[in-house]
Amino acid sequence: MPEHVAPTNGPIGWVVFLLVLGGFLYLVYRRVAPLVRLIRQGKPENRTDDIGQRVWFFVSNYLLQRRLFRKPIPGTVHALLFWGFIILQVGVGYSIFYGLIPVEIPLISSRPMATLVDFFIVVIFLTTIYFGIRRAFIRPGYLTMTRDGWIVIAFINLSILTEILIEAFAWRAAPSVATGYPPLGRRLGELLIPSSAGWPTPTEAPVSVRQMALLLWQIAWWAKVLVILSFLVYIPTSKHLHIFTAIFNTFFQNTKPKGALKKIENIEEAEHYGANKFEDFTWKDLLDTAVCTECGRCTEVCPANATGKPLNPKKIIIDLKTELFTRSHIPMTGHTVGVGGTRNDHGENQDATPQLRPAEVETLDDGAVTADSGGGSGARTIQLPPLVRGMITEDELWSCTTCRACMTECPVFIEHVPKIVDMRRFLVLEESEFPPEVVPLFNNLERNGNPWQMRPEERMEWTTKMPFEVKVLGELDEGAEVDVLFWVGCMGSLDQRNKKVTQNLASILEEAGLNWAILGPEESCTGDPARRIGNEYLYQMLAEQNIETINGYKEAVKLKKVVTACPHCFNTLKNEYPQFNGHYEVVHHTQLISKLIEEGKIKPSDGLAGKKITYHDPCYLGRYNDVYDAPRFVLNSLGSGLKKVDFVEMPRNKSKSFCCGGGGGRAWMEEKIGSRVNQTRVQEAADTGAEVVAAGCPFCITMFEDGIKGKGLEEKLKVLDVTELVQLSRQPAQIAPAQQQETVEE
Amino acid sequence: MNIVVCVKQVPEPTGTNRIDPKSLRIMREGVDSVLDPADEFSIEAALQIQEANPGTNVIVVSMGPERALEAIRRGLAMGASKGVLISDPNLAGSDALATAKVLAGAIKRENPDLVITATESSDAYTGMVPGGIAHHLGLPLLSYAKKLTVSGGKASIERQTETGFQRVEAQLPAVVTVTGSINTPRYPALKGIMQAKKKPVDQLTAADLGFSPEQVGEKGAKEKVLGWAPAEQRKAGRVIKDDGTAAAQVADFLAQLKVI
Repeated sequence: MPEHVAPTNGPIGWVVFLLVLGGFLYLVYRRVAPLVRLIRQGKPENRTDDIGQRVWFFVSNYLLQRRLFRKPIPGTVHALLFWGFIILQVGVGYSIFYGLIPVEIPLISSRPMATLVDFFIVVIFLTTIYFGIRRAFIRPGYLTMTRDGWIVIAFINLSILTEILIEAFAWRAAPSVATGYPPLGRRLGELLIPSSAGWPTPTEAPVSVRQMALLLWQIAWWAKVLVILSFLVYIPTSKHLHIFTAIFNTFFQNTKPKGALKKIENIEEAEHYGANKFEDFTWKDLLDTAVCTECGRCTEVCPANATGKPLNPKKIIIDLKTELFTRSHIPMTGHTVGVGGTRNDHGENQDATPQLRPAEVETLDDGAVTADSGGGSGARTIQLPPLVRGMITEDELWSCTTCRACMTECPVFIEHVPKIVDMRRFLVLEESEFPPEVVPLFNNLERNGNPWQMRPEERMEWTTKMPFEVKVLGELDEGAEVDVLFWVGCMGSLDQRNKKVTQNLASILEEAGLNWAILGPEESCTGDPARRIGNEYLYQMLAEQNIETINGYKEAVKLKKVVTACPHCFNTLKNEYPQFNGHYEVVHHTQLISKLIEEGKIKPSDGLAGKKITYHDPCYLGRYNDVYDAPRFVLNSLGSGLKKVDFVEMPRNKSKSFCCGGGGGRAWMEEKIGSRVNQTRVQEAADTGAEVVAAGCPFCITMFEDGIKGKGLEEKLKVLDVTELVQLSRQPAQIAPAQQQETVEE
Repeated sequence: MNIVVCVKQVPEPTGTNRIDPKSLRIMREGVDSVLDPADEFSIEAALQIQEANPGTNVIVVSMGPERALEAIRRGLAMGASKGVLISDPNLAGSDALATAKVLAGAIKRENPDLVITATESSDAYTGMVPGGIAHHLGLPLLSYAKKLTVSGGKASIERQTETGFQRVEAQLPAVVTVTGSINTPRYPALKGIMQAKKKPVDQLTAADLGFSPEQVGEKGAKEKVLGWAPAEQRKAGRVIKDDGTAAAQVADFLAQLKVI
């Protein structure tokens, strides 16, 4: 900067600057304060445990942008923009500081720093070109297309333009002291004010030129300050607010097991269940909405959305945000907020025009109430539809498979699924409103402990076909010990198809010489479908009953671990039962089998040599519990060398796996809207050319069998559990009839 | 309007019903007991009339041991307004006729405009109680309703028969028995379950209704169970694999059954 010259040019300019700065910051405060207040008024939720881990979350996911790279190209470009912006903020802060106190800070005004700033100015410019092309030409369907994106791009470019102009004119005004000889600024200065023959040297302009440059430098400085301050005032109305709120959301993200839904404490004493209105959400739920960048990564991967269902995870978040922002008097650029009950104007949700209700709008400090005042002069009429069954329809809520793909993709750690389940809880517990086909499920779970009208004793039926005796915990002799409890689950015990998986797994446990037993008639549904459909009351009844049963044996038989072939049982036993004092070491059967193979206790053979096999990651095993390697290890152990199976991945695998459509209680509901989720996934499996799609979940197996039939692919593709493949590798002759069921009941 | 719904607590219908070889009664100890699923249709039918006619009371009446209160609570959780439980050791061993007499006594106290019951219980299946209630109350009985409409002081039903249905109507008050096809019973919301705990339940004895121990219970029973035998197991169906003649085989089979 020119020596001893302040950009404000004297005391009057300095005072004006101070007033401008104060005025703009007050406007920012006016927008942010009610938002902060409303978020803080949300229901309590503890998110301050394990600070060390949270600091790391912030570093890895905010500063290092980890999640962004799940989409490599936009992610990398975003990270470059982000890092560039961080560097540039040093300059911005310095500009404002320099306006108040014109003192050079050596490090910031050094040449390396100036070079870095110039480098990132170029980078930022290029990233905005990319994002502009993406918005103008690529136009991904999941991205919110409003003027907001363009305004942000304009602001970013204005801020780098003014920055570079400051550098350029500073260089011409006082080349000898101009900040660190910025390479780009210097060249631009030479371009804008070319040197002429009368100059003492090509870099040193005569006094008149220097004074002109000084004036231009001051104008550029003011322009930059005004651009930055306007941007700051604009940001709260924009999706760009995420640049600040993401700091908090990465820090306050969930540290509990991913597969554990929130417990409703003292459920019998509660007066209101679940969430249907603004006041029912926690501060973290509300913070989530203020972080949403509307990038649509959640929507892009949503199986419900992909198959034509009304659910759009992004919209759920924006709906809640609409209410938060309306109450906070903050307009949402590109969205028509709350006026006349209209909705987002970004081409989505235009059909939502339910009845209106006056919103209880936050009263500002100065008493500027803008709630519905009956059309009085100057008052804004703000009306919003109800949140649930207004802005958010029941069909949206029931479409969710709770597959967690949205939450896995969200770069700013928004938690969609718990909100959806909370709203389902309202519908089920308070209103008894849910798809009618779920009624028998609830009744049967309550009365029979399984989803069907089957007697608990029927859980033993599969054992009668076994060539060895299956031990039952309730029938052991006094003092007997059991290492492993095989939690068979309802599907494994009672469903014809999945009983075969159970029998295979039982043979493997026996062959490996494990000391294992089952609960038999004493086992009942873990409650997973009930909980995810929103019937927390029924879930808690089932959970407490099961935990009482297991805990009754745990010490007596010195139980070491629980194994199950059902990822839903696995997740609930492992992650949710600790909420009710059920603490067990739980493993999925693919984990156990991979260990048994490693230890040489189970030896798969090469009977399936050359067979093309793909694997479907169940959501509750993969995304919820990060078990990806064990099942793949087992499949890759089927045969060796040239006589191995030919294992191929589907395009969407591991954490990007696409749901079978059966989670979140969806297996018990009819799929009336759009195309079928399971058929979409079956097609993806078939397209790999595989003959067998391996699965590790009874619900996936059922959904796949149904999808294979629906697609007419019975001749080409079979779905088999990992255990079945292990057995078939040793008895390949059995692979043929596996798909047919001979028994027909009247 | 007052609608009385008769309900019964029965052993879990999907469980194995066991019969005590000595008393020849259904064993109710050591098995899960639930509100008879057949009664949920009656309650739902009453609640639907209540919703259409504000100010209507739905009263759930049951005769049984103390724990039958749970069945009444389930009805209250679904939305009924009040419960009546007639529980008395003297009532143990009552036959269908005595049951009808006692229930009629309790129902009368509620000044009903309409009494709704299931066609029969899902444990003993005598199907005699609804007729008995109508007899003792001196009311018309509309049975096997697959549809029920109440308007203009009349109850009209579609009465299920083997070949179709009949339209039957009666002046209120009347007794109606409903079948399982009349509606889809609602699942009680937790809110309803919690509210049900605060709803009134009258507890009565046989004496409260003016019955002496000789008139009811085992002593007053005129009906005797003489013996029992398990029902014949259903046979597995026949699988026809299509070798080109499947259609003919199916046709022959149906002809054999005189269906075609």
